Parts: sequence; C-alpha cells; structure tokens
Amino acid sequence: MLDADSLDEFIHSFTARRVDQLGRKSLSELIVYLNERHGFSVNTENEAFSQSKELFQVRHIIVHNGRRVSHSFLNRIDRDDLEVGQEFPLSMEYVTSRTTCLATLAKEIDDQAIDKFDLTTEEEREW
Amino acid sequence: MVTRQSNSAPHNTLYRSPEPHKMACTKQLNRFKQRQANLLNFVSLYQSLYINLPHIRDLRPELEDPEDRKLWNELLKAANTYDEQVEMGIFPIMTREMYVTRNIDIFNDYIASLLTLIYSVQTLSELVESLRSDLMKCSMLTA
Repeated sequence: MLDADSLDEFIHSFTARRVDQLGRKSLSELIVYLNERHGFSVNTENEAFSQSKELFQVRHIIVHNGRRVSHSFLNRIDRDDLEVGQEFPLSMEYVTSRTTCLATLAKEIDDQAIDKFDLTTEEEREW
Repeated sequence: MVTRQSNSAPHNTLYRSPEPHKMACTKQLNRFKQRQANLLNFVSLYQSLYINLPHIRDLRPELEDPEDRKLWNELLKAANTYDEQVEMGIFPIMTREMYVTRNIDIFNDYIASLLTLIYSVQTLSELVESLRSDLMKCSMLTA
C-alpha cells in the first residue's frame, strides 16, 4: 500500500484489502462488524438470521465434506436430529425456505444501509 | 437498489464518487433476487415435469409423419433419461446443492459490494483510524 502514487490509489488499495479480509469472516462476524463498527442493528435473534447461518454451514459441508455432517457442523448449528457422518437431508422445501431466509436477511441489511448512509433507492431515483 | 444522494456528503468527508460501488452493489442484490426467482421457477418446473412424466409415457399418439414420430421418440427418450436421473436422486440433489452454494456465493458478492460502498463513504478520519489499527498490528509483529 505504501507504493501507492496517489491518495485515491491508496484508498482503493486499502478498501480492497479490508473488504477481502472481511470476506473471510463468518456470517455472524460480518453482522457483528456491521452492527458495532457502522451502527447497523441487524437482528441476530430471528429466524432469518439463524436459518441463514445454518445454510452457510450446509454450504460448507457440501463444498468440503461431500454433504456429510461433521463435528464442527454440529457445534455451529442448533440441531439435535443429525448425526456425524450422515448426509445432510437436502429437500427442495429446505432449500426454498432457507434461501428465502437469506433473501430476507439481505433485504434487512440493504434497508439499513439505505438508512445509515442516507441512500436513495433506484425506485426513488426514477422519480 | 442502493444509490447515494448527491448532496449528502458531510463537509469533512473524503468524498469520492460512489457510482461504481453503488452500481456494483445494486447489480449484486438484483442478481441475488433474480436467482431467488429462478429457484422458485425451477421448483415449479421440476414438480410439474415429475408429476406429468407417467402421463407423457402413456401417450400413444398416432403420428403419420416419420419426422413427427422421430421427434416424439426423442422426446420420450429425453423424458426417460430425466426420469432415471430423478429416480437415482442424482439430478435433484445436484441441483439443490448447486442452488445452495450459488445463493451463498451471490450473497457474499452482495456483502462485498456493500462493504466497498461503506468504505467509499467513510470519512478520512475513520480510514486513518482503521489504518492505525493495522499499523499497530504490524509493530506488534515486528517487536
């Protein structure tokens, strides 16, 4: 970063680096960052958050463990109906309902970003 | 979805045009929403095909044109192949996995765009504060 030729270049480099660092954090850590650092108040006690968090963990075992339940998976989610080694039961109903929770969480974050940074929406801009 | 009001930058803010960032943010969120819609469309299509397959197979259309018969046989062959995949569970599971991972990836892209937007509207003092914490870590590592 010290090789930057201008302030803009430095900020661009700094931003890219910081976003990359944050991208490696878990969903819970990201929400804590938004809430504590930027004054968001994303609710982590509701179904949208807990189900989204579970979906991230499901994604993790799909990519890294052949969709099989692991010890760390069970430690990170609140489920007592699964056993280590079994394939995670991935029904279409599950996929649909959880990704809807993810969309709900994304909308909550987006709405708060609009409020926090005094942003307008595309719809408002059209007027 | 997300755009910045042109006259809202505080006087002491290091204000740079957030246009590229807000467009990226908007694009990612719209992609995310489109994928959600695609998923619902897929579920509907999958259920419709699965329910109707036995009826399609039982049909014995009287087709005189050889080209029509050929087309029908190809359609039936494709339907049978699809049915085998459904029975083996490969097709639906792969698709469900694909949609889970793809939705998470798109959500992560959205968050990255949002964070970039946030940094683009941060004040210079906040950036310096963040930089100071980085430098503190560096000095601790080299101590």
